Amino acid sequence: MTLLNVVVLSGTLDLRTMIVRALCRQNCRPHLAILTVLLFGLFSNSGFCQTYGTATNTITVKVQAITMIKINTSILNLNISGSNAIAGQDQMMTTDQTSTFSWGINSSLKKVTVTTSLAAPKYTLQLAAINPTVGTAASQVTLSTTANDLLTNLGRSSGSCSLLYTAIALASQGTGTDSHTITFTVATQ
Amino acid sequence: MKWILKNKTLDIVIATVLMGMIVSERVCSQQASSTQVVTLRVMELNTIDLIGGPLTLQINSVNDNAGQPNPAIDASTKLLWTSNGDARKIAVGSDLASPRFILKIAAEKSGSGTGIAQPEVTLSDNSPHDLILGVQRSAGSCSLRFTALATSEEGTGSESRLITYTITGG
Repeated sequence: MTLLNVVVLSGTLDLRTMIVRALCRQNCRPHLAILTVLLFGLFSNSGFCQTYGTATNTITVKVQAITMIKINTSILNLNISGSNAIAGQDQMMTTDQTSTFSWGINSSLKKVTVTTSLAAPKYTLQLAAINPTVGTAASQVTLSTTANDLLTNLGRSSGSCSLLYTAIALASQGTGTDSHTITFTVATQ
Repeated sequence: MKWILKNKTLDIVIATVLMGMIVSERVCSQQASSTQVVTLRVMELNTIDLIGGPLTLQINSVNDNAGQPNPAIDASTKLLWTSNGDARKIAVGSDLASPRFILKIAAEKSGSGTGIAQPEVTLSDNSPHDLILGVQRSAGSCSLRFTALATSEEGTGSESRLITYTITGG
């Protein structure tokens, strides 16, 4: 449409020029020639603006339920060594808060639960969500194969929190290694 | 007839779309999950500590019957330990190879934890001596009883010792 208008307008100018030249050749007054051109211009502009056709397009945007969770590090090693022991105390512990848990949820009210794959751990491993940007952090959880709430009141939000792991071992439990696969799950609250 | 066929086709299309929506909704709203592997490793650790500052034993009285100086005794120091290893022992040693006065030490086990107190040790040289045996995966404590002895012939004087306690394999 724009291209067509340009062509029409350029054609109009050519016609105007021709009329001015013709009037001038016939010794008409210049202001009469200009007035004629202006009137012609108005008339011609209204005459050339036409609608040649219309089209519509219906666009439907559908946003489906999306639930995304992510942990910044997939492997975490916790060590309890001599520096974690106090002479005379049976219990030794270490903590780690380097992991970050993030989520994006656009559906109804959700919560995050946590489980471990290790059915009979030798040592105690606890987990807590620290400073969630959205939602409510549950109290510290001792990890087991039963799902425990880590975060609640997550609805239509994106956010993150730190994961605080606390490992506890007793001297009476001796040395050893526990390997956990921790599963974080978004569930309906 | 044509209209009916057209209507049936429309129904099938609508039904297919609806089913597709339901299925896709279920897929998308499935519970999301993520995993993290956490390995907890507990190393062997042995710690030992003392409660009680520098100790001074003063021999300043005489046994009326024997005419010899009375021993100076102190049991205010406490020894603490934690070990998650098996069959450990605690040894004690002095830095003086040839001390002038006699210094004895005994573990008076009254606290918790494993370990068997050994008979009183005389720190007559700078070699280590067993103080507690059978420390096994536990935290424990005991009081340390020091006894300083001197004879009249040894006269007066002062002697400082650095006592070292060590957990070792038993």
